[in-house]
Amino acid sequence: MAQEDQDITFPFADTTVDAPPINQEPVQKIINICRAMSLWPITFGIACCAIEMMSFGMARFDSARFGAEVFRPSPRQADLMIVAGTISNKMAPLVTRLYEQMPAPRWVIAMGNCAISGGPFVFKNQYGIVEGVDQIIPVDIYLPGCPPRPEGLLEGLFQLQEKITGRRWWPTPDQAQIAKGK
Amino acid sequence: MNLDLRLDTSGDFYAQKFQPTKRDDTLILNMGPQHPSTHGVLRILLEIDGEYIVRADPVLGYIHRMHEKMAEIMTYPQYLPNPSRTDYLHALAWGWAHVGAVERLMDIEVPERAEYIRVITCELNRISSHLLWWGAYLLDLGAFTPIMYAFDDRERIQDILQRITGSRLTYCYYRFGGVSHDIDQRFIEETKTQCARMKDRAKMFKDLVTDNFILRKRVEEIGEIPLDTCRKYGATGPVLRGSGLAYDTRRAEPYSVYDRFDYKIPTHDTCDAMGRYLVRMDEIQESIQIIEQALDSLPEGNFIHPKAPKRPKPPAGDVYFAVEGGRGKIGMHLVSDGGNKPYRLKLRAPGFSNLSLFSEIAQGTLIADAVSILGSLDLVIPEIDR
Amino acid sequence: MSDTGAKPDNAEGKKTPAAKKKNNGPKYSGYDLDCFLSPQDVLRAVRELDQSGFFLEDISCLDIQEGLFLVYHFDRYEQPGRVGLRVLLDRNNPEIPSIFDIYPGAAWHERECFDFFGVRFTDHPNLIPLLLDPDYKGLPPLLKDEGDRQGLEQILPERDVSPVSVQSQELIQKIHDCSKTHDRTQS
Repeated sequence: MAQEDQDITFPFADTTVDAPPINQEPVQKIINICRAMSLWPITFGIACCAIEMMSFGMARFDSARFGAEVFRPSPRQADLMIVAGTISNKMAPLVTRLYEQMPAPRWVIAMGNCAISGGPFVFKNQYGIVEGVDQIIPVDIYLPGCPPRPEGLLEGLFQLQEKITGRRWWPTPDQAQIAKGK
Repeated sequence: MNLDLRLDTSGDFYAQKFQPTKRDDTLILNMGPQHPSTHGVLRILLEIDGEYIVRADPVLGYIHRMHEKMAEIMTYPQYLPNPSRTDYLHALAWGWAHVGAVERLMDIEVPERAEYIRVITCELNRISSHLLWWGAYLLDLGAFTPIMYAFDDRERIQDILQRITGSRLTYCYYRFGGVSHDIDQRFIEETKTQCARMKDRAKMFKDLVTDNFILRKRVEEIGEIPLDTCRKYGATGPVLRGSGLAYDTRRAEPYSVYDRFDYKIPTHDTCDAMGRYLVRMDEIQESIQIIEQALDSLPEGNFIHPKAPKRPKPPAGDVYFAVEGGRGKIGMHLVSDGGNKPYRLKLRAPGFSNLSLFSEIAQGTLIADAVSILGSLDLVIPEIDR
Repeated sequence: MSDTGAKPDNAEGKKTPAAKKKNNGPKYSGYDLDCFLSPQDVLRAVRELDQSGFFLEDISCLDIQEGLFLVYHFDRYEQPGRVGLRVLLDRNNPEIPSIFDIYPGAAWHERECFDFFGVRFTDHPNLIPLLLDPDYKGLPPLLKDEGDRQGLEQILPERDVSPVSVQSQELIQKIHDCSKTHDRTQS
């Protein structure tokens, strides 16, 4: 498998976070619902998937009605990193740095095949990309596609909201039953 | 936390190379690679004196995805999806450059209907590419509304194209010897409706944006690129046509059936960002002209050559095939040794040459004007980094 | 050197294995003028091209058995016609003067060749990695393995690959006259 050829020398991101100031479950449950309904993504469009992420924010698919309204350029003001595109070896330390600059709680959606596993750019003895952003930062939701449709990214957002709050808030697609494997 | 790395204030490799000629009273600032206005992962090292840029040096490679290496290890059909990912906004033009290079090397004749389909789809893609450029450029300048309108029109074009190509963005529609699927009556009607709609929208774009006082102040007389600078750096496309020279690959090196259509090459000789802006807006209208003429004279026939090779093995030799992309002249230098994989495939990206003149024209400008200049160059960084 | 680019020069009439099919080369290869030069003549040729109003399209490189094969592509805005300059460099010492002083746009193209093939351009103002990670420690990525390299005969069969002198008036005249004069049906 190509991944065995690759020698990852990038350190994994530092994921230590402080405990929340009011650490009681009922309070956290309510706060989690508030957070899930107002996830603010960071403008981190890297490659082709960035265009579908822009479509996701525009009028037809409109992520604003689900809370992901404001795309913040600064990581200090964002809580969701949608990694949209291929991570090259040159970019990898910067992705880690951006992730570490986001204040907790923070989530990551790996959008597109490149962010999940290197995508179409994986070949034997490839020298340039990181095969999957989960090699360097922890990922919450994986979203396959090349690029995934904006509806796919919306579904990823819904599943992230489900992961944060524990229940699904929006109707499921009719064709697929979301497996609640725990 | 590894504090040593975090507190490293000497900068990385590129900052260290940039630093030595710094003056005492200037600041070195990094613009990017994560920046809302650099249109991808572009990093620009700036030496600034207050708000004025003294020196600018773009740093590339943050999205280098080894396209040329992949061409050497994949067979020709396996490589078909790759050029679309190079410049995903005008994916069909890159796809055309690739299949066109192979067709030129093997002397494959493309049926007339397929040529017309290629022209129609490529021009539709050019319109959607220019629309996205327009929306994103205005977003950089601070206007939030035009991008909404641009994406509305763009979604309609994407709906038309996705029925026959199967994709919304990174189309892989052209095959060696033609296209993969034929177009049907519904495609023709929808395209005609969309063309008529775009002509109406042009008036609204002009009233809302082009004649807007704030836009004019931010875009006029910014980033003047004299013609000789364009030539020294190899700039093509709207960057060159905004400096007054009507050079378009569709006229200069005619390929396919473009010589059958009547269309103008829009130019503006103001050499500034406004010239490049107006050239692209005019190009949208010219593309609509081409599409309408092509739809009216669409011939019947095969959409792919009946004996088109599924797994081409071109003879040994080399060719250069160029097409006009939304950003300029896309070139493919294909060297074959007779096998089923290219010996070397060099991708010539227009953005590469267009961006190389940035360090010269950004000297002495304000940072906000540098953002405007970058937007007017219409960069797609993955095509520059390949 | 044919300046139509249609049929490659076959002055000696020698047959090569690659030509056992009816391979006379493509009808039109995209080149209107194709010349092989030696490394020390490149600057002079490029100056001629600059004076004739050409612009630099790109600088490409190939890794072949005989060495590293640089290809410069130029085209013209008015009177379009493509010129390809081909230079063979020694693999153990791949050095060639930079054309940065004549065409500033060449700076990035040359850095790219340096990145991927290790070609050193002397007098280049800033020969540092452009696209690759500066921490990348391997060999230049687009160099081929020993067994995969082909020779000039295999990739450019039946061509006269001897370098032409840039002092010759014939070449300078060809540069001035270069244009897409011949008739082509489709791409």
